[in-house]
Amino acid sequence: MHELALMDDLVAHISEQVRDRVIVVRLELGRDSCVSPDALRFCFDVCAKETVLEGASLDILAIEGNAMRLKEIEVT
Amino acid sequence: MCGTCGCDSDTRVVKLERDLTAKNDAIAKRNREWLATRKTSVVNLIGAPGAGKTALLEATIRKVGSELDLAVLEGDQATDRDAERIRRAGCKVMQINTGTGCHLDASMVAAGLEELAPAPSSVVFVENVGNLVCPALFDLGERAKVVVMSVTEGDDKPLKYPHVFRAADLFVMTKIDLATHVDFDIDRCIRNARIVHPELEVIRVSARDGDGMESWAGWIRRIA
Repeated sequence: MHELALMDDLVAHISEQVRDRVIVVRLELGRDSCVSPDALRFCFDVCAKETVLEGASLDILAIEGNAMRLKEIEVT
Repeated sequence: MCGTCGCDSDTRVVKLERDLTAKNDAIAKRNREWLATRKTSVVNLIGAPGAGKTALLEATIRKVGSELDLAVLEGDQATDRDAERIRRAGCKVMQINTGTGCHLDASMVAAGLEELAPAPSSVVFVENVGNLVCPALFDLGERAKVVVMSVTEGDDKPLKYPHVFRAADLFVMTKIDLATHVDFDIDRCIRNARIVHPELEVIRVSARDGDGMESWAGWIRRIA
């Protein structure tokens, strides 16, 4: 369940960067990255609880290669 | 204007480009720098539970323990049984227990290395948590990743777990003394490994009777 470690770190990072409520988080995820989008979504919801990200949606754009990048967030 | 649909809701887009593994990668980079100042190489052993990683290390200590400074970081969810085996084999060792965790990350290895305090110019083997999936993703600051797989596991395993074979610098096939007793085609397994990683170097060993250990020792000497 490496997705949990990745999401835990991602939520902590975004929480340090913004104070406003986060509506959307956009990621790019390589098809060869050995990370499951479904597992990422599950872990995102768990990690986002009681943070500025709670209730935000996670947009995952599938790309070629093995990169996994946070691109941008939308806040209100 | 919102960035999703162009409506007039009061939202704004914040660019926050960052790799998902950024935190781990930064710590791995620090590990690599720390190791370089001590001329020490870390070898990250990755394999399923029961692949023979600990037995390979015991045989490695017997084989090259008198000519190279070796040390071992043992990763398991629980117990220090493997560390005890390595200690009995006569090698410096530290056990890392990950609790519920399914892999070692760079910060665990940083803490482990500090406590282990390997001698300068040594080779440190990190025996990762038995798992062919998650450990492939996490850079520990190692010099090389070695995937360890035994002949009792099925010759199609490289196709079923391609990421770890793609990430590996070396494939050590273990328990070759058992190959005649199981329905395992060594050549087909190597072909499968090279479908996912065409240049992958393969060493076949039996930790029990010593076959192939000279090739493995040669590889260790080259990266030391």
